[in-house]
Amino acid sequence: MPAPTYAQSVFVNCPFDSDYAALFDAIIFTVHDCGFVARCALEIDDGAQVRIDKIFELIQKCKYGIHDISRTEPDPISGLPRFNMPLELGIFLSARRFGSGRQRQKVCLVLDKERYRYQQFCSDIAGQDIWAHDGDIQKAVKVVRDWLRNATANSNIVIPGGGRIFERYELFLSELPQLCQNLNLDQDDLIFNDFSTLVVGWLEANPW
Amino acid sequence: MPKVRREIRNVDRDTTISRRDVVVVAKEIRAKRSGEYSIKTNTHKTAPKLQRKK
Repeated sequence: MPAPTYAQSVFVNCPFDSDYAALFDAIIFTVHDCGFVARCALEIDDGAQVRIDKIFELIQKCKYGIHDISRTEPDPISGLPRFNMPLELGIFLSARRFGSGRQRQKVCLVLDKERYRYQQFCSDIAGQDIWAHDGDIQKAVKVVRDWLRNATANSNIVIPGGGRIFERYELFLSELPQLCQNLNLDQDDLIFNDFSTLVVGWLEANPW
Repeated sequence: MPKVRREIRNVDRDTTISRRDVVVVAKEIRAKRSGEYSIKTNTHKTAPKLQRKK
């Protein structure tokens, strides 16, 4: 299988908590079904590497970035909000602004629950491509698909519609338990690398 | 410009399963779903054996 190029790599900067898992999985599936490769900080498990260095390295390798800044609620345990998503969005935008060569070609999609809510807590990002998913999986699939389609508008690449991708995602989910069972995986405890390998293998077996 | 479908790609991930194994299992599940063939007998339902009349 060919390795992804810079122009085919999408850095996914989203919450990793269980409340967001359904949206996260749908976004990963959509990115791959559109022919891109999802990269995220969860894929590297090298204890010797400083976490921020992992993030720098991933961002450097990705032309595209999907940044979900919807998680503004305080953590139930600490009572404090998490700032990782806005931080990584800032790094991505900085790479585009201060980087050289292909880093300046970076394109990003910012997601939130409501389209203009960011103006109340992160107004400096006005002017970016900001869309709302309303916490709805089908809408998230469509937004990500349409954004990737627009990003490749001048190419000869065909990408199926958001409704078609969502249908395929539902089919994938319906077959995921059997897939996990046959491969001796625990569906409730899938790590990112296993999940994305399942997505890629399933897509290869089920071309549209 | 002819329209083409983008090829599915992936990086070499640190994972306990191989993509090839996933493809094999996913194809079996797809075949079972579409009724193309019986996995148990590994025979195609759409191409039944011809019964030669004696």
